[in-house]
Amino acid sequence: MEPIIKLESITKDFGRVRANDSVDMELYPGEVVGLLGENGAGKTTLMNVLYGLVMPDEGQIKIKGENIDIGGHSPADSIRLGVSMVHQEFMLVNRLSVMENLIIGEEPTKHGLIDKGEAEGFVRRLSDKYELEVDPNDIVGDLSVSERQRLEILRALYHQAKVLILDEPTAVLAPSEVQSLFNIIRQLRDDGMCIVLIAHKLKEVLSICHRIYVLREGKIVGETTADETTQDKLAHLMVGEDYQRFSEEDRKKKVIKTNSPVLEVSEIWVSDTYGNWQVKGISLDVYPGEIVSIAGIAGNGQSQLEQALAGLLPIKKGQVFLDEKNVTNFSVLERKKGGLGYIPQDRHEYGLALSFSVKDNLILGRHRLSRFNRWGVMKYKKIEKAVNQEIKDFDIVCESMSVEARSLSGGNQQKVVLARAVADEPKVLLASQIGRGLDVSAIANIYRYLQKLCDEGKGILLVSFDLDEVFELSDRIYIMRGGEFVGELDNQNATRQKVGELMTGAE
Amino acid sequence: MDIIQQLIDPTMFASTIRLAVPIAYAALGAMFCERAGIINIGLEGQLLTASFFSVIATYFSGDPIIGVFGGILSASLVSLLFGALTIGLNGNQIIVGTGVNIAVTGLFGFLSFMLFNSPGVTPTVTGIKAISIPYLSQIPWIGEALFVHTPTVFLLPIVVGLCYLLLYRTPIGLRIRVSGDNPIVDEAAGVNVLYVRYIAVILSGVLTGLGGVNLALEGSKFYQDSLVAGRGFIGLAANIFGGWTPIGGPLISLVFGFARSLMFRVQGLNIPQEFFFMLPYALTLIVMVGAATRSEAPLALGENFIRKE
Amino acid sequence: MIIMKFNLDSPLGKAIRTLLLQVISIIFGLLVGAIAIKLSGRSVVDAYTALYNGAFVGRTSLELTILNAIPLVFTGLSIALGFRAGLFNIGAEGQLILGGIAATWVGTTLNVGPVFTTALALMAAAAAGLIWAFPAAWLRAKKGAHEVITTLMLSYIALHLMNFVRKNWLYDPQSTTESSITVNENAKLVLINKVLPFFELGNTRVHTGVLIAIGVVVVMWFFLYKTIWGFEVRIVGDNTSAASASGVSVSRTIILSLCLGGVLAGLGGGVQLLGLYHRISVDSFVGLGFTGFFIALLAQNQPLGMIPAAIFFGALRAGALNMQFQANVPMSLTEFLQGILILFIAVPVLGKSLKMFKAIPDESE
Repeated sequence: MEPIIKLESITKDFGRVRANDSVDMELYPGEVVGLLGENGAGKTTLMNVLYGLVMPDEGQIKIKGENIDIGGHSPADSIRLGVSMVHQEFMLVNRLSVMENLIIGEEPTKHGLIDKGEAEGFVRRLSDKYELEVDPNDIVGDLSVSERQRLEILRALYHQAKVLILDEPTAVLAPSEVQSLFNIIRQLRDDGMCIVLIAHKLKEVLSICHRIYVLREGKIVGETTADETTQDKLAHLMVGEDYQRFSEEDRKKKVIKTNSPVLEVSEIWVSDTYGNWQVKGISLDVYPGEIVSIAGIAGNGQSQLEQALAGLLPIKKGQVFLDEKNVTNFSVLERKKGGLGYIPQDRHEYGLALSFSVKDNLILGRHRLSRFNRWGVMKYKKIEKAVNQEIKDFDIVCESMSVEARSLSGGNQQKVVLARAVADEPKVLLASQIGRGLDVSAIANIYRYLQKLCDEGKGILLVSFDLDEVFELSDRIYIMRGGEFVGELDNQNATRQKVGELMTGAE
Repeated sequence: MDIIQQLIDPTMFASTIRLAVPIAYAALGAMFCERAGIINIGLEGQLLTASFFSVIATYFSGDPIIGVFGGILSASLVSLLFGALTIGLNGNQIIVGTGVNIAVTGLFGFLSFMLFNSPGVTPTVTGIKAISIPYLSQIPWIGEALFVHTPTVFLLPIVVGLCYLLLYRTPIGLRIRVSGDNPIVDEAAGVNVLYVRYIAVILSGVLTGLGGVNLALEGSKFYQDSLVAGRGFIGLAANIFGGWTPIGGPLISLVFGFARSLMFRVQGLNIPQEFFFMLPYALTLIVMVGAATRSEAPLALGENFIRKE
Repeated sequence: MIIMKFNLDSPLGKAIRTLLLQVISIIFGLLVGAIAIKLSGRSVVDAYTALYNGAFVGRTSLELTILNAIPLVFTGLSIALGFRAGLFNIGAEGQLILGGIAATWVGTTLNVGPVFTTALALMAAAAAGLIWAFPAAWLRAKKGAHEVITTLMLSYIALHLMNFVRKNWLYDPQSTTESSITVNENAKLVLINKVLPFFELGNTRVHTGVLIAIGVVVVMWFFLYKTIWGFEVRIVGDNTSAASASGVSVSRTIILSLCLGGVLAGLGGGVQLLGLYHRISVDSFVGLGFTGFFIALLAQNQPLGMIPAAIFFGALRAGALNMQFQANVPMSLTEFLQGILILFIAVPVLGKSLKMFKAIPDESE
């Protein structure tokens, strides 16, 4: 059988980084292919090249046997040829309806105006066939995450895709939703579609894919089938060395369960900027030396909870105590002075001012502390001394403290955010999505550092959408759904299944 | 009592509508641009351009119809320039918009000096007169208020309807709405975002062209550089307060039209006239307070779209 | 190429790159101006010679250049401060006018001796500028109202207010030009030949406002780069989310930036009135605000750059006056030129097409 897609010697550089290094790949109709690799291995780039969003520096793309003109290749081109892609960040316009999002780019018209009837009919037909359960007139902003994902798949069907690329589709789903998705994928495969699954979760990949490519540092380091391999073998290929999981040994620590928790939250209620309650009567506590996680599917109030604890959103009812002090109405700065270190969820958007120097970023948020300014004038000598020390202590790799934060690698940027949060000896560290977008060794570094903080008697509260992260690090897990805690489990007693059920409300 | 009488006079109603029209066209132009994600500060300059060239074209050709085309065409060209510098060359939208305004003001001052030896002012032309719609204009009170107007005024409701259709019922309208909220969706679906935004900008050129024709050919019948006096910006505010819809902007413009007609009518009172001149601007400020609480702004407003490589 | 070996990413390299860009933009702008002059049938050589003479040749020209530059420093700083916080304080002109009005009022009502009257008038001017900026600042910080529209509206209102002041409230019945009454002698800003006797400047029209301008530049430089508030202004201008997540009060910073801008512009209005105009006439303050926009862009929003930028523009204005006299080229051409130059600077056109400028940061974000 002829491959429907053939990639030959695809090479792409981004500046000095070689994202794809002479990659060869073949895709056939009616199969599910897994594209595995660590963060930054080049998976998304490769598929973006195929899809036409990124232009490769070298190589050939053949679709249905025809050579593609690289210079003119674009998403429009790909769609026309039957290749569709569902990205990690959904390409949807929340304000518009399902139907409007669907037909974008290929609108059915009658006398120049959009033919709503035809569009609606299409949505209903396909929705029924694949059990997608999507209503054409719903506003996308009101849909759940998995419903939006199904809309994206529906759109691929609308464009009559023969090849569907899914980029980390399970990252935002609960276990039961993952199963639904896989059922849909199997049906599409049986109907002759080729599905490419970009992923880094080994168990899932093994359960649904036939063939698997493994990428590491831009190169294909392995091509195998699901039958011929195991999780460990795949892990080995992905990382290139013995995959070190954060072992049980590392996690033996002294949890100092004194009588007083270092962070105590009591029945707090927080609303969002539109006035809707997002946090409904949450209580939790964190003791010195322990790591507590808040798990849950994105969108269940975690962001608001995190912001409220940090001081960015007002707490309408309830109290928060930091080291026995009532900080409920404290500002961000006051909380910092009171012993709270905060690592926000997206280091680019909320963490760093990328065109400012490393020095400025390290001092951001601390510049009003009395050791760094006198009557408003910044004490630059003191600042530079502290920054120098911190760069050393946290092993931040940069040419000098004056280079732009933008020029640092992801892992080093996260170290800056981390250093800033903990350099002033907080009692509690509040960290959100701490491992996001980092590669294995960077994550291991951060996790080890968190361990160190625990040893020093600090308390850590993590908010994470990544169950792997939650299970690796936590002593206790709170599960959040619909703005409330629906469960609290000890790591010993928690299983992924149980947590998954609590996260989605399924039994 | 005199004031009240003046207020319920049909001519008051008529002048409210008449004075609202250029602002309404500017608001519609603002709507298309902002729905596509572009803040077009240059609308003011576009109105000015249309006013100037509609007069010049009429002067040299003797025919006001040529003037109309001249106005619309010139405003579209200026909008195209704005588009090229922001969409094509990625310039900052507000800075380029301001630059366009300053440049055209200076240019027309210079050109009027070159052509007529009077900087900033042109000679008067025979413009376009008001039309009385037969039968309807005979209705007492309503007739005088609604059915005796210049062509662009009658055109406005039709244009509003067309804009509505265009924005909500055509493919290009959908693509424009997408490019203002999340342009990458257009891109990933194979639609050229830059092209879509150019269309939106040129539409604003055509609309402000009509607005300029109204101000110059139907209104004052000559150009002077203080003719537009901020209507472009007021149009921007009206669009925002109107919720970025084809109907909202023009509706809000009526309020401004009212303020302006008030300006002319109450000069009998003992309040110095300058305070009445301030009315439209003060009103805009108040409108902005309410407008600002609106959450329906296009999400990608003001951000240039850069195609990834 | 030699230039390539030089480290283009070092702070010095960046400064030189952007400077070169500015120079090239100006040259392009002058070229466009030359075309316009040529098309109008006048001699380009005569025109530009007159321009240069009017700005720099002879004592009167130089003084005129400096006098023109003084208020521009203030409006430039005002607008630049806004830019650094990511805001567009286009309405500096309105704040300038209010400052002028306040200074006129104090200068015509109070008389408490030489220096004190001036000081009081200037303080009133600064306060007036602050008051005029505050509504827009508050609306932006608390309600998200776009400051371009609000400050512009306030500017238009200020314009009419100014007319009211000179034609009505502080009207001078003896004036033939519908101007206001003149401030008393003690309010006027002293001429610099009195303040700096040792330089032996002889007769001059340049007033102490020039020293105030220089002082303000230094103060703003210090504010922006050495204080916590200036730091916060710069961070908010770069990444509002990161700023607020780390505890900086974004709304307070916005209000500070716009209000301080109002103070600066108001002060500039006061200086201009007490130093040069001495009363409000029909063409007082015209264009100074918008020109400040241009100054801020030219100076890359750097306080220290305001002085050369203001001098450049002051020179342009002074020269334009002479261009009108000697070469019969109208003033409106200068305005046109100004707009063209803004367009050239706002768009990194050349930055894109010349490879050596490849990685210029888009500071106008």
